[in-house]
Amino acid sequence: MVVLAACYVVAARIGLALGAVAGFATLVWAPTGIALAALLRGGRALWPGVFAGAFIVNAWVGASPLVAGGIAAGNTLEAVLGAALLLRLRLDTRLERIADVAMLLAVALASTTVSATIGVASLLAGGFVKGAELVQTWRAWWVGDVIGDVIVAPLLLVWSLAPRARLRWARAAEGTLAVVVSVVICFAVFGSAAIGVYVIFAPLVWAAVRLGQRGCTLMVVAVSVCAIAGTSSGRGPFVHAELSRSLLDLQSFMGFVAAVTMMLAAAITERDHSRAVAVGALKGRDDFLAIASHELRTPLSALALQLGTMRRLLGKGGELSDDRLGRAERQTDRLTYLVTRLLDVSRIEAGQLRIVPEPLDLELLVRDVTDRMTDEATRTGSELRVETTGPILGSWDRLRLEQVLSNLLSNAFRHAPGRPVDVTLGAEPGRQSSPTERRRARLAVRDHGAGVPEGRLEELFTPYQRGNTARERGGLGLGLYISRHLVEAHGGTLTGRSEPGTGCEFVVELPLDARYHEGDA
Amino acid sequence: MLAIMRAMPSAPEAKELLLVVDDDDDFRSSLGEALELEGYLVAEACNGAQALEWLRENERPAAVLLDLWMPTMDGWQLRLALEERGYGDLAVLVMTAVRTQDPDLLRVGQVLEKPFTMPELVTALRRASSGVVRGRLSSTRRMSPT
Repeated sequence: MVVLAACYVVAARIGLALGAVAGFATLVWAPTGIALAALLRGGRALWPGVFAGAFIVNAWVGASPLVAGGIAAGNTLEAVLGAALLLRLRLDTRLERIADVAMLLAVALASTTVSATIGVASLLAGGFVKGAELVQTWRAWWVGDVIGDVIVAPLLLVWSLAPRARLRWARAAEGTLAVVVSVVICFAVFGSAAIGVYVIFAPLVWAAVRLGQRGCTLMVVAVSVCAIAGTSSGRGPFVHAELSRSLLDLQSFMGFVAAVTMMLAAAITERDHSRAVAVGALKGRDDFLAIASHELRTPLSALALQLGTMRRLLGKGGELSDDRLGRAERQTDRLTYLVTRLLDVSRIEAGQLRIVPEPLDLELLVRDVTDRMTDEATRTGSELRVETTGPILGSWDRLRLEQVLSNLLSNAFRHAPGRPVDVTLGAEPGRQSSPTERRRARLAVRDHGAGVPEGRLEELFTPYQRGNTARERGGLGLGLYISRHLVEAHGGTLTGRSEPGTGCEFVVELPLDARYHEGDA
Repeated sequence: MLAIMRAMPSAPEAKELLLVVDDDDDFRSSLGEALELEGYLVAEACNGAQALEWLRENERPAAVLLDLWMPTMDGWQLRLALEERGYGDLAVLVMTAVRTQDPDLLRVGQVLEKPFTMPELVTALRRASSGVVRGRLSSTRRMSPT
């Protein structure tokens, strides 16, 4: 807070030294930007630092305690309001999206009217300005503050964040060169009238395209300092006979340079980001296609070999055994299963997943599915332990719920072979805190395998992801994604819980229909 | 599960012995049967580790038919392990369900994409066991099926 106040005072004294209107309103009021950045970074509780800094500065240049207090209140309110608005709008202080830059510019334009109004009113009350100078002073104050927010705040916000990637020498050299070139161009522009001011945009565009928001904010400050230095020494395109016009021209120039350059940098960063996301998505899709192709080709190969063998056997006058036909049938079942899952995904992605409810008893459904899967459990050496509390009636899609439970069980068998798998079914009361919440059926499948690290569990519900690599476990990696959508289509939830080393638990919760459970506790 | 010898030779002439390494039970047994009908003698292993164990205890096969994506020890790992254990000159026929551009893999020799027909397999086996194409894997192991 003390540091903030000290910075505020130093920046203000520099600003005032560069020229002030009525002794208080400056060309660039850098402290506005410092205060906004400090409150955004360190929290709004830092406001006393802003107040103290502003009070000291204004008292220093001759304001009475009352006037200095009024101005300080305006400056503090401006920063608090600006920070509150930007936090509410969820500003990302990296300023890498066009929306963030636009937000900052809009808030800079709006919040600074508070300081200008309260500040000029304080000056008027203290007799520092007269009625005729009121508009001009207000405008100079407001624009000076806006420029502080637009030039200084972004520099502090962007540079106070840790860089995403380690700075490479080549990039640092390019940045330095860009700053040097822009300063040279500025000297040329502000040293003689022969070169148009628009030439300055060349290095700024370079910075926006190549150096990101860090490079841009630095360049904007460099160009602004040169422009102020040139104009205040009476040279350059913004020097007019009328001082106020010179000031306004220079301020407009700096404001537009900052806004345009930051917007361009944000647009380019946004484009790069979108491209990276798209490339990542394509890579995910490619990996998935490789897995899907592997999963489909394996049973297809087995089936092709079996049919070839059958043809040869029949050709030799042999007979087809039941076992041989059974194996061929199993391959077509596998292919059908895989193709159906792929169709499920395309239905989900097209928003066309339909459920067909019918009255059924969830306990019976659980018994049916677990009975059917006993063979698979035996094959993987998993003991299947089922615990139910009694019939649970409701209206659900039988096939889809069977699909969900089979998927959860298959996953458990595959990922924790040789370990027991627990299936529990019961009715849960609605939460007491929410009397309108209905009772729910709770179906849990728990394995006792290696588990999944906490952060990775949710990834399993994302299509084209899997807990282990395809070649280790097999499958398309779509089961949980499809199951969650199926349960949600019933108005329920499917959640997972896991700690490495203790296995995974997946819980299906389905709302219970009061019609079936009026008499239940 | 231990690697199993599928059938003893019944024909009078000496049959060529093949080792099929694939984790998919149905595919492995279907391939084994089809190869037997072609006159080969077939042993099976469901992963790389089991294949190495079988090789240690049995006579050298004419060729190894190898799947790439397997648990415990995959095809890439097995290929390296074979070289380390002095089986570098063993004919290997890679059967993959993933289109591969892996240069190390392609240098190994015969790569057969699943699904394949028996005539394609037999031709590839003849080429592999006659040593027409033979290469060595570099020590860099490729994980991704690109």
